[in-house]
Amino acid sequence: MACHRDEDDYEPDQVLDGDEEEELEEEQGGQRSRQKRRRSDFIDDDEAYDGGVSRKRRNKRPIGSKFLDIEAEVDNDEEEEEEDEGEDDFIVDTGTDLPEEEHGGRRMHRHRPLQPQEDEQEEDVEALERRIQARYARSSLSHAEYDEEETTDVVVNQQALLPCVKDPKLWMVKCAIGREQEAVVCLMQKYIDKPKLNIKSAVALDHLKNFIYIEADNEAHVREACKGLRNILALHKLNRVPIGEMTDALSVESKAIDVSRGTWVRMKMGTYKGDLAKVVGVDDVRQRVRVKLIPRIDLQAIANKLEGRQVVKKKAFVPPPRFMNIDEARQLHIRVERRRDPVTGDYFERIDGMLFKDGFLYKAVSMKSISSQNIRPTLDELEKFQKPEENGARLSTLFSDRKKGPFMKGDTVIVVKGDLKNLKGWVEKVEE
Amino acid sequence: MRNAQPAQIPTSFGHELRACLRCRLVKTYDQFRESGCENCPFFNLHDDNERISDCTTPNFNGIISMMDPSRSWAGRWLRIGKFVPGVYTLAVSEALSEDLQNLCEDERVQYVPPKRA
Repeated sequence: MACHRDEDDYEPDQVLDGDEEEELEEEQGGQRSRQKRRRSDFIDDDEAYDGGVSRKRRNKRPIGSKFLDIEAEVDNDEEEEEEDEGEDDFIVDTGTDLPEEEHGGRRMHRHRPLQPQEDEQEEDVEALERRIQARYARSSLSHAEYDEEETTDVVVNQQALLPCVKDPKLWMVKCAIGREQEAVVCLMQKYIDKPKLNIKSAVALDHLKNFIYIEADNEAHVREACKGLRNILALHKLNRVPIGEMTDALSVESKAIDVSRGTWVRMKMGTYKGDLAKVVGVDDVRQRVRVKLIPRIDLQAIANKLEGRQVVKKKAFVPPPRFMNIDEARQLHIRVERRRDPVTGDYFERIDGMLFKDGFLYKAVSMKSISSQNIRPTLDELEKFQKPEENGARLSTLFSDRKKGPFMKGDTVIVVKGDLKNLKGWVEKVEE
Repeated sequence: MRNAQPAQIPTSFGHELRACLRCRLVKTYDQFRESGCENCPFFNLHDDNERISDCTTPNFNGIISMMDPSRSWAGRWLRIGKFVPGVYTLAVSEALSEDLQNLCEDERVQYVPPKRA
């Protein structure tokens, strides 16, 4: 019976199922009134757990086991016991140790929240208590044994952990995009505030946008848990992950450690978008990195700004990359401060709030604004990056491009003398 | 069987989140500093910034809220079924340093390094 329910999709007819079954029992036990049972329908799972379980299980075992042959292949008895210490003792009790029987029994109590048989329970409380105590006393003993086993036998075969029909299922639940983590954490909070939530876990994967997974015994539990969460969308269509795909759903690779000192990265946004940069420092905590890049600085614009002159803002103008020439900056009467970095002890030139060293710009950026995967610097780029170091870091020799003068092809210029004074233009060509 | 008292739940998302390199519990840096790691008290993360950066990482992949570790299949599959309920990550990107692995051994707790991709 339990097994049959498993394979079909979980529908509200579960209630009916339960009733039928109870009728069976009723014939055997024959005590309870229909009324009582009705009432018990509303009683929560949890109460059923410790109460009805043991009796139920023994009764039902033969029925369940008929259907559960398949499981024995994937499941590992030992692992099972390890994971569910509290419950497996029933097997020991009755002297049986066939795993499928256990499954049959457990299924039963998990999926039938509706049969607490209050009357019996009341009579039985003391006996029950004794039984539970005995059970836990024993299980803590066995737990110690398992622990020892575990440390010696470090990795249990992952194969043994594959999901089987008795396990909770995964549902794919639509979620507001970008809110996946938040939704999952909210569910956790909700569970803490209200532990009867009945879902087992909730998963947000970095590569799966717009969806989260929720693990539960049935769909009603998923709905119940999601009720009132504004990040959860389209609850009317829930998709259950087929049992064979559950492990794939939860497979992730450890992200390669991306960024450390010396890593080549590319800038993802702003003026330097697409530019190659080298990581010179990582601040894990604040998730920031310091990179060095070839500056794209419009010194004239800085000079204008610092002198309070009107800044001609040209849209989408990106200065070409070129090493900073301090002398040139000074010529433009830009203030250059020399600063010692308190952490590294290196000296930097500071111009308009930016730090330069050996012609490079040193910039602190957020981890998010650089990409570090599959960065393949071109030969050209590498050559350019090597230059200052090879040449012994003498500023005046750094600027091979600049030897021809302060201009380069592509510069925007304003003519300051002669007939064309005040006209704007672009440098087309630079001759010696 | 009831689960243990849940761990602290992250109070924010994104940058400040870190994951314990042993048990993969996810919390903010400040939460680790305030109250350490609920599953790995022997790391003594409490008020030890250096230890926190050695034992936790901001580089992890995916998060899972584990409400019912003892009954969850995902908990079993990800081997976090015996930890306290809380928010975990599916995979961390770094391994514990050798010193800290030795510490785990001394404490007789299991440490499984992350699988390399």
